Amino acid sequence: MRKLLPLLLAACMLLGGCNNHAQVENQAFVLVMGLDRTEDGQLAMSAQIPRIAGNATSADGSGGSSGYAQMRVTGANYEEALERLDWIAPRDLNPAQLKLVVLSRELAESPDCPALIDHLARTERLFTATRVVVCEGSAEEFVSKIQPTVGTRLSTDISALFEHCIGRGFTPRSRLADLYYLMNSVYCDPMIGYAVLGPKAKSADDPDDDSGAGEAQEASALSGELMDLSDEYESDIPMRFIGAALFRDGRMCGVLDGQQTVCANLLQNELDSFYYGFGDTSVEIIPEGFIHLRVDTDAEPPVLRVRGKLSLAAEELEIDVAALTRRLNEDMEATIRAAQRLGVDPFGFAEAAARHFATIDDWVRYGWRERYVEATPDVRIEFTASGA
Amino acid sequence: MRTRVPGRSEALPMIATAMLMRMYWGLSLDFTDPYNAAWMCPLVGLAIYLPFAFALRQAARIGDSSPWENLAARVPAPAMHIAALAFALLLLWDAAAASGLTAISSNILALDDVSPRLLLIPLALVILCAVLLGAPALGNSARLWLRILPLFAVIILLVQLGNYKIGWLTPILGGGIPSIVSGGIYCAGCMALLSLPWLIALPDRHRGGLLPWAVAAAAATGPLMLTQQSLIPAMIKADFTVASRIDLILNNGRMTLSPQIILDVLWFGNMLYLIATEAVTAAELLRTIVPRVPVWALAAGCALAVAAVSAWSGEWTQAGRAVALNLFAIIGALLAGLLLMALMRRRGADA
Repeated sequence: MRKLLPLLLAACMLLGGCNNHAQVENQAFVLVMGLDRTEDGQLAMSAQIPRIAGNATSADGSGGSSGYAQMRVTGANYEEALERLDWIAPRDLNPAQLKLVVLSRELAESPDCPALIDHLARTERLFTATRVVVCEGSAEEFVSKIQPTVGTRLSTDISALFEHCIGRGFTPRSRLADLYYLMNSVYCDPMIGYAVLGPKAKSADDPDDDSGAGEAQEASALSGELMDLSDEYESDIPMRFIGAALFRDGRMCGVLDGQQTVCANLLQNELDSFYYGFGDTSVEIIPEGFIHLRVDTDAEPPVLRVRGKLSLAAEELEIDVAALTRRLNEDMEATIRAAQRLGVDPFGFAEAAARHFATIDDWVRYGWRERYVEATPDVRIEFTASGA
Repeated sequence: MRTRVPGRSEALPMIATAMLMRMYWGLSLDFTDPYNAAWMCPLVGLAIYLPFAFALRQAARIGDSSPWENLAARVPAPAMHIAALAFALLLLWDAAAASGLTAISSNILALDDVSPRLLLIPLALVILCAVLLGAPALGNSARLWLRILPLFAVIILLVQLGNYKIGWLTPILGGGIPSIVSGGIYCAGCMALLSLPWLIALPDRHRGGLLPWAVAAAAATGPLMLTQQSLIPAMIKADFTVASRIDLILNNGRMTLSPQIILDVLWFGNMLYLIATEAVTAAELLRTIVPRVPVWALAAGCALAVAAVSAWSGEWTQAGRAVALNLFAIIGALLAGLLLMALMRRRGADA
């Protein structure tokens, strides 16, 4: 009996799994969440939740793709909206599988944004590796257009599309955790993806209405050459993740266009290869090792040094490498200066500068941000013969 | 019932596992002032801990039994009882803190809403089982666990290989030298507390001492902290609760859900060993005071005490942190007192 007692007691531990157990079917997994500011100052929260039956024929009348139910609530703040979403959800609301959070630009630029991001990051069980993007226009509309296009599962589709865009360099990694960490850290500032709806998605509700094209034009002006390029093609995929939203002190303060985002991703060593618009053509470029960032903090103003080597992927292209080098260096420098004008360092110069200081207190006393906006960029990216 | 006192070969694996985990969660959740320089604290702590390890070795050499028995043969019983009670209470207090953290982390990961207090029940059962089965059983299973643990750790490190940001390890001294020294004292306290199983361990086939295992635990905690600090930057602007810090460790925002399971297994496995090691050692020390109390009563008492303290103290508080920062001084002073009394008695006998 004495030998059996520990075994019996150990077995009791397993009983915990028989009580208050949570079946997957009893969970309302939120896959996409959109956050808007309404005209009366409320927070509007939209969510896409998969229907258990898959592509069910019934519709909930509130929009959304057939396999996914879209719900919308408003509340005075994030907690209230989330609580109301839980009320109207058909099952227990569970954000553990959240893949994408979409913030409207208006909300991202508002003073409420830092607190909102803080609440998001602290939401119980919310998957903090989820992506966060800022969208032009309404987040609710953006969320309603998201549907699985390639394959059948929205969660896989969003992840795959994002990885594709990140691989091309058009968008940053945009993880909630990084946004939250960098917002509160002593280092560089966060940047997350900037998204627009494609022209087709914009005009889908009313084919005669050309306001979608107008908004797309507005976004194009904002997001540069690559955005123009994206408007020129038609696709059933409504989302375009092109460009980056820059954050300062938890609030969005500006946008990098597609080309600038490629430069920013290159500076962060996030790219294995990337396409670069040069004249009438687009060349594929491969970084040869790391792009090194160094900051001369002894100089006044500090000097932001960028050094690195690249190579061309295709041998047969007859490219004026000297002109390409000059143009790329100018673009990189222009990107850095654009961020400096906004008082934002999304590139990682802060980490490079911090290594010159012994303690965090010394580093904070140095006043990086004030010095960074005055700093002089010194970019020297060269092309090597290897691979070209 | 089999023998309850562990041999040295059984005590050492559980000491190493518990030391590693205690320092890891201490620096990650409890004493975070050194920020990105936290990886230095276990090494500083090791330097501070060295005299304590030598004192333990001295206690082991003055007789041919366990250090505790050696001291008990030379020190008056009331002094030994006071020391045993103090050590046991410190161990149970720390086990309560560890239980609270484990319950909170289970609550974070659970799909359903479960009260952290309810989650203390399985932990109390773990303590009950561990004390009933005895330290030798725990030590032998810890030896197996130590063989699996590095494999899991390597998988976690490799999965996250692309996410480490070396830049976040600068400024190199993080919160500054005073915070690193305080972190070192904190670690030394953890190491001293978890050296107590060695105090009661009987000599057996194992030839080596405690120090190499303590060095290994500190040397392993340093790189673990290093990897963690290069995944999560120094955040001086955010105000964290213990729950949000646990969430940061278990889900640092970069891992997909599947490797998190391995991390969770490591977290909970090590926490269970830490709690069980502390409870078993406390029970054995209490048994030296009240040898006639049945083992089941001691086991139930320890389990209830840990659960009760954990349930009513809430989150690991400032008071708990203050105890942890002074652990080294308290345990060191008690051991030094016992050792001095034993040595004076021996000199008196020699004279």
